[in-house]
Amino acid sequence: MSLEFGLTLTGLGVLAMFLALAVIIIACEALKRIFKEAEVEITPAETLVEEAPLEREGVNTRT
Amino acid sequence: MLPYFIGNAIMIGVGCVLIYLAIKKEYEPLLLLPIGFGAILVNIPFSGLMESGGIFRVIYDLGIANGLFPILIFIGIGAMVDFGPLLERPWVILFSVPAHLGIFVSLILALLIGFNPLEASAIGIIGAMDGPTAILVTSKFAPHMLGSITVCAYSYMSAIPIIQIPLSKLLTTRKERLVRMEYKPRTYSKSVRILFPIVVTLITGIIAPAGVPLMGSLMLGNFLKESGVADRLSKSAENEISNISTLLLGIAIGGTMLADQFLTVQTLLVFALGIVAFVSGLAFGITFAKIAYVLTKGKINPLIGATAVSAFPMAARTAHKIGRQEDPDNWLLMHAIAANTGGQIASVVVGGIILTFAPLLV
Repeated sequence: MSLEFGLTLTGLGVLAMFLALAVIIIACEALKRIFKEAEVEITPAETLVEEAPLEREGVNTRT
Repeated sequence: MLPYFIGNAIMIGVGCVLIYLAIKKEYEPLLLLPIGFGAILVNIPFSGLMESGGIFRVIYDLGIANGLFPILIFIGIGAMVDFGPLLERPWVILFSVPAHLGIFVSLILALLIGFNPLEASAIGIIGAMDGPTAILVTSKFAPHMLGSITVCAYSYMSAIPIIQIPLSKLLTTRKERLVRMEYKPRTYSKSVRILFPIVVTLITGIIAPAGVPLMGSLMLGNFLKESGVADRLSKSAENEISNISTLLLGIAIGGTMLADQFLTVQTLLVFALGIVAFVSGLAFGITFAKIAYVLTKGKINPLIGATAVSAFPMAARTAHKIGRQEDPDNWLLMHAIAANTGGQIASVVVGGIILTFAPLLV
């Protein structure tokens, strides 16, 4: 019974997670297409990487 | 009476160790400090802090029993996170599916060991590597295990590099670690950034309604930030609300670490299953990324697979560091950050899925 619960929840969980994330990807791409005209390229990659706000401390970001 | 006092003395020692780790090693200091201090206070004999009317009990009932503090913390996290890198390459969020399989591995092991289904679900959620999600799920499903699960989740999260670095090196070849991933930085319109949190909340809310408080609060914080018209609210969420909630949550979790409830075989099992959840999740993530590496003919660096978890931004920084150890000019960071923010969303999604479906299956 317990194992059945675990396997069912695993199946449902993986399926629902995949479905939710796949729909999020589709929605993201759709949003990007709809608002494509507002898209602006910026350069260079390294500059953006160095400026990325990574140094956040503690529980508030490391979740 | 003697064992009672010995147990309390041990727990006061545990509290001191947590404080030591927070100060000397800087392991999650914002949370481990109040937890450690709370554990010391609550184990002072006859302090009565967790008894009815005791101040720790009041704080616990105020924000843990009803899940309020994790929600407030999530609003703060949402206000801090930038989903821009994820918007650039949303497909990386798929890496989060295998990276969260550790949840189900430890859940099934917990069931086999003899935990009941809801306890096993709470233990499994440690594998989400997401503190507030773990706290919320545990407070609903197994409140008596809140102390052990929370301390376990945050301890392992702080130790992510210790787990991730050897595992990544073990599971990948040097050739794979040297892969450079193409990066085209772009910025997207304000409309996309504003609509993103609303759309994600709607999608995940329809699939896992019980997860709406989690995802809704995370995305509310992000929405406040991206709207650009509620700076005061956004800043408050990011600072005051988040800090006060973290402090009170830490104290209340420390308050649950009473000797007679914490010093049990069950706690040891939680820690053992927690490490299984972490290691298997990271391993699945890397393995999936290795498959992607093969399918894309070497365009994806498998190190990215270990970042699709919620330990943000530690997991991303660690993957970037491993990559740069092999090639100092390899910039994996933005890809890793994208996968890591995707992992943040995925961990909330899976928390919502477990909150929704587990009670239905019991």
